Amino acid sequence: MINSFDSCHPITNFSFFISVIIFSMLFQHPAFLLISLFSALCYNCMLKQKKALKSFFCFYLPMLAVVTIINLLFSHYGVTVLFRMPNGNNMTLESLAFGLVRGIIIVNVILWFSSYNEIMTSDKFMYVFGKRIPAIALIVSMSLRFVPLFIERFKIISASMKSIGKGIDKGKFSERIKNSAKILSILVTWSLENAIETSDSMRSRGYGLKGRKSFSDYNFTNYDYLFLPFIAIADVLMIISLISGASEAIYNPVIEFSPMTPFSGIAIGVYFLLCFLPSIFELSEVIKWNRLKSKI
Amino acid sequence: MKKIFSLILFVVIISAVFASCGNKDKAEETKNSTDYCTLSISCATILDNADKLDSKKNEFVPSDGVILDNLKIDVLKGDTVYEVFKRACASNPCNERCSYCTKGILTDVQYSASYDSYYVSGIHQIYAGDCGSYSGWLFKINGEFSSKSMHKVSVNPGDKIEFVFSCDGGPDVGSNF
Repeated sequence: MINSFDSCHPITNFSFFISVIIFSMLFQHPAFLLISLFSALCYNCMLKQKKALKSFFCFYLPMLAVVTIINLLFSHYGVTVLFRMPNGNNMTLESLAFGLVRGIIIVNVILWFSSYNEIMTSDKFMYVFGKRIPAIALIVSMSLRFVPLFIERFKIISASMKSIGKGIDKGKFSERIKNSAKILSILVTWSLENAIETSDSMRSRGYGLKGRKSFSDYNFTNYDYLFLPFIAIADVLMIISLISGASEAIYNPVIEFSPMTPFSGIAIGVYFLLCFLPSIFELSEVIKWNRLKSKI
Repeated sequence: MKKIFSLILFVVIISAVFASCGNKDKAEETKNSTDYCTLSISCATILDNADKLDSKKNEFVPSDGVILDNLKIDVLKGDTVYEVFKRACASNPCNERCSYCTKGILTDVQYSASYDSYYVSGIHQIYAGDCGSYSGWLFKINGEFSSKSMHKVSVNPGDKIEFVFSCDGGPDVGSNF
């Protein structure tokens, strides 16, 4: 599949993901939550195809259920009693609804971050922040890379240990523990040494020095000139709707939503466009591609 | 076959004996239940600190701050404050008979196993922390605050139990703890 949003400028990608993730965390209104959920799922499916749906149904939906049930069992606020427990506390509709809201927020953020990792590779991240905050940017991108690298190295080490008959899946229990401890020690030593080597290498290439330039072929396209102002305007609008309370939802004593006004309608519409921005862009590119193909 | 039959008969007889014993206990309890104690629940301190109150909870504060006013509750044998409170709130609406109290006053009582104590975090949707960060529910029995958990304080007929909401951690309702 063509990945058109990926070819946008890194600043566009980053500002999109940051604003979407932050607003997914801040909004508690069901309309905003559902828009964020469906758009995140839709875009994640576009990026990862079947894998996204599989992880959604096998991992994120059960997590949503667990969060909801835990909130229902442990908080008893709210006036709509579903049923009364023998100890006198109540299961209420309000705590069920708020548990659902919390669960959806968590799932939204995870889905958006999963898409973020596909699009914002570490070189893009370094391009955005490398000049302004070189040390922090390097640390963040190295630590984000740390766990995947750790797993990769673990596979290499355990394969080579297995080949000399010291694998962790055979032998006596005490031997297995011995071998796995050895693997861990090799893993940690390798990673630490590699981190030092990386930083030495970066320093010897003059990373973070004044006047140092680095090559990158990211260009501002026409789409970026369209998307970046749109994201900025949408952000401002969302902040206004958050502060003014146009998109407020209260779950604690009584479930209450702020009344629908023309402004909140506009806010919902703009949020819809903001969240579905990469999906719509992707879809339009696919349509354009197919149209061009049939002409030839 | 005979063995199984006799076993079933034995079980039936044993359970019948236990059931009759249970009935006897209950009969004794109801015999003693003619005496009553009084229970009142008040959050009048909120009226003096209206500016600190969470605006979402405004409609749950009665106009005079009294949720239950000297309600007469039957005292059963071995009753503690916890049981009296639970029973009273399950079956009585609040003083103003608001629309949220049709199934009794809604309460939120949490048990903490490490202290072996019950903690009243909310009555009538007014929760600890809703009116200032030190606010919360306290209880008095015969005008005295107890340092024990409410399920360890036994209730005798004629006792006066009061649940009061403090906005500053005790002093405004006369507690020294």
